[in-house]
Amino acid sequence: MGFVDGVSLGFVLVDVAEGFRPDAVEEAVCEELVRFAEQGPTDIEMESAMAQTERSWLSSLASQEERADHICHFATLQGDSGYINTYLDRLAEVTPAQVQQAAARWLMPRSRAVVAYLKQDGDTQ
Amino acid sequence: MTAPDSVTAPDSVTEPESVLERPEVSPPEPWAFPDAERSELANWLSVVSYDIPGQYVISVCLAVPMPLELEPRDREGIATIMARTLDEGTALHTAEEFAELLERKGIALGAGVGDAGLVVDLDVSKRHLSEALDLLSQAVREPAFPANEVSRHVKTRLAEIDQERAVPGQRAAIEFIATYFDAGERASRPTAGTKATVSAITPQDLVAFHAANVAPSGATVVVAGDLSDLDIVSEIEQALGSWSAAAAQVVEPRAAAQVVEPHEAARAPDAERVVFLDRPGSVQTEFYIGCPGPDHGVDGGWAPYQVLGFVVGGSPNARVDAVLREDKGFTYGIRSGFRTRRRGGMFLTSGSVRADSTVEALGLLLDILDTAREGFTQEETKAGADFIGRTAPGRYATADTVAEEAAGLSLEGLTTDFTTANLQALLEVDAAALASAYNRYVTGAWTVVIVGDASLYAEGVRGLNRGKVTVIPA
Repeated sequence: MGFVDGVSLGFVLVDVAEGFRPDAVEEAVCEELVRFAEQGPTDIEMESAMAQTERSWLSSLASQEERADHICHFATLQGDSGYINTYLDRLAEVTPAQVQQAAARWLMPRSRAVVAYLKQDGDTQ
Repeated sequence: MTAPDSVTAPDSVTEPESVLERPEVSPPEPWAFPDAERSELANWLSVVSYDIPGQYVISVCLAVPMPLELEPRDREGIATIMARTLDEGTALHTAEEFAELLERKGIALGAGVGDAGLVVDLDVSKRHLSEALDLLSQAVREPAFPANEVSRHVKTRLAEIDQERAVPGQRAAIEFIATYFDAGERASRPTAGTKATVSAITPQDLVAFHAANVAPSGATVVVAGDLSDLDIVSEIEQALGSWSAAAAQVVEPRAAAQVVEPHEAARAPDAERVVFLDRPGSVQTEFYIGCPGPDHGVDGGWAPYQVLGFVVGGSPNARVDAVLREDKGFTYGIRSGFRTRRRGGMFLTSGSVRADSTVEALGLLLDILDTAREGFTQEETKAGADFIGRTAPGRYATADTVAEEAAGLSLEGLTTDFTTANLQALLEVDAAALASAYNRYVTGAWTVVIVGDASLYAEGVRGLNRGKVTVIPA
């Protein structure tokens, strides 16, 4: 979530399969975050992130309503109504090292807050 | 004392020069649904394309006719599980490799089934179209259905069934089809199957079901988007031209599509009644109300039914919400509309109300639906037809909506000429046409499903005298 100021939020959403302990799954996610912050993204992950973002960004500009919303959003919050035309170019300049640094600064498990929606013992639903 | 004057006198405020005059609102330019290019490959796969300049994400929809009646009775939901596992491993790639190949080219691939068939859809930026079509082809032609992936999707569906039963609106919908349709009809049971039938599905079942039903003859591939500088037919030929039906099935073209002749699903003999699903302590009550309706091929055209849906229950200003939402404050919104199947259809009204208004809200709702048989004003008619017709350019502005429309219609044996003709017909719909269309189907023969606290409200509902009321635990 790109908030205009203050700290934006990043989310990891996990559905825990039947028969696995939620705290063990959480621990595995945290290990993965630490590993990512140390090693940064692979080339394939960078390629995928670019390609997926290109498609989803162009999709979101495809409808008139969403395009208007994007233009309005950037005009109001960033003072730049033309931002939508340069977004993909900016993204293409991001390096793996920058992604690694951002992860090390913001995605470390110690910064997390966790909400768990759990089944109580005896629940049948 | 001078301050109020300076505020109220407009000429004391300096007008910024950049403020534009408010534009005059004039009637919109005529608009038509995009034109299709149509052709057929040697394997009888139909290819339909729509060039929509400026749509840089290309949408591809492959529609394969596959009536749900083809599912074995004890494996219902198999078409859905098949759709969900097509890209979970193929002859050439494991599920993880395949996912990575999709991600690297930014391809969004999905698949789902409805009463008429399978639709596989993909979105991809123009420059990766060829790779995307190759992966689509592999998923459709050579899925491997690995045991671990099948088992995961079966478990996911079983968890989804639990969730559907927990959500009042979905619980109501499941009970509604079971009450409305004759028990012998596939339509009386959930599209994605029940616990018993889904649990029984094995990888071997999927291999057999896929081989018997996923074939190019009778299928249609739709491509929409900015197609400049692309030779779409040759791209499709490259990816799907060598697709052939499983050996056992090659008899004659379109055989697969004709196995089950489309028929209108029969209504249950005792469908006209009220089923109250008891959920003690409910703070809201959910309604699901329906009667028969037409399909797209109805005499006199589909347009009046589209307008009726809007006028009766398609917006906060429609008849239902004008009373239940705006005047009474019983609901956040209740929606009505005609829903088509391949043959036949339904007129459905659904939504939730504050629990303490259950009895009054249901009485008012059924009265509004019944009283509408007396007719509609010219003003309502025009507002409804204008809304449907004039929002069409926005609704169909994107490649994905155009491709979906064409793919969905192809499974009914229709093309988007239907969409174009329907938009034209909307201009001619008048109040008399609405009244006649409404009276033809809406005769007061309601199937009503309620999810709420029966101990508090079932007696009151009985008192409305709207049919026999059966209370069952939810």
